[in-house]
Amino acid sequence: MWLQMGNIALGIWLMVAPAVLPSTVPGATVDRIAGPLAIWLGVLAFRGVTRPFRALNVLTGMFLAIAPWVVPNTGPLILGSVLPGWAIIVLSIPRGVVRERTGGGWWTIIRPDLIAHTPED
Amino acid sequence: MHPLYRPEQTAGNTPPGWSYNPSAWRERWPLLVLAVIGLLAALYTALAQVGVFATMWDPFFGSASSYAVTHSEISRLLPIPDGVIGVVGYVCDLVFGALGGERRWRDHPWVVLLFALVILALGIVSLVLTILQGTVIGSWCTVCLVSAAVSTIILGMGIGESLASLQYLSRVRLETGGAEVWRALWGGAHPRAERPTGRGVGTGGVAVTD
Repeated sequence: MWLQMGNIALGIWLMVAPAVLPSTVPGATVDRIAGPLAIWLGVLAFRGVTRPFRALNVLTGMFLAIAPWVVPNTGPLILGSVLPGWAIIVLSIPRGVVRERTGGGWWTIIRPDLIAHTPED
Repeated sequence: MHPLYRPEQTAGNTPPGWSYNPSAWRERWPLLVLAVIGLLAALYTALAQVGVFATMWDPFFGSASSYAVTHSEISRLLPIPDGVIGVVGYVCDLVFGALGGERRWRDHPWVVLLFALVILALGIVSLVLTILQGTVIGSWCTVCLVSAAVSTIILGMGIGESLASLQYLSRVRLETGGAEVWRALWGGAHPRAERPTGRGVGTGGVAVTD
């Protein structure tokens, strides 16, 4: 939950960053694609039942780790985008605390014989 | 006993193997409150788009910025303004969020799955529109962002309920070889499928060590 809060905060920063740092249009576009995506996936993975979907934010982070370098960009906005990108990757890998049990999770839709027999993830 | 299966906690309306009931009103009423907020935001946007209001309230980006968003080409991609589609979406959200009781994950799986589809569609459209505001349109609209935030929170809080229904339908498929899944989707009774299946569960809901 706290890890996803971090992703949401970083996503908000990315939406704001092009307005507060010197930026180029392509550099701003990268942040304004990745920012809403990081927030959306952070909210989706907020609760225990949907926590596995946090893995998708690793892709958001990888996009942010690469794309700001390859478009015409300013130094401050590269730093202000790539560092949050790496942080999103780091925050999206650990599962965090999940107290709820949800009948074995989403894999059980494909393998109903595993219901209530698999560790929940 | 399997450490993750505690039969005493799967009594009542709670799905087997769950530590809470995703169809309980305490789970669902916050979603309905959020849907009302989203409905009001979409209604206000739609009325501005059809010309009832000349300007939109926007304390952060200014009315001109909101106007640029709500009268952009993207907002007119379909024959009707996107705000009207938002109104329809939130009404569906309210209807399918409110229908059924605290056992609807099992008694009315079709309602739960339709609700999941509605909130997923609203959530995805909100994400795409928010990205387009920042990239293609180049202007922001506070009311639109409020609606997008509300849709996203509803999706994140509400989509988990569909897992309970999907697991139930999966159990019906396993128990009946697929013959009864269609009937179960519309609310047919399947007392056996209410319990977890598989090696670790004996009769009467008593778990057997495996």
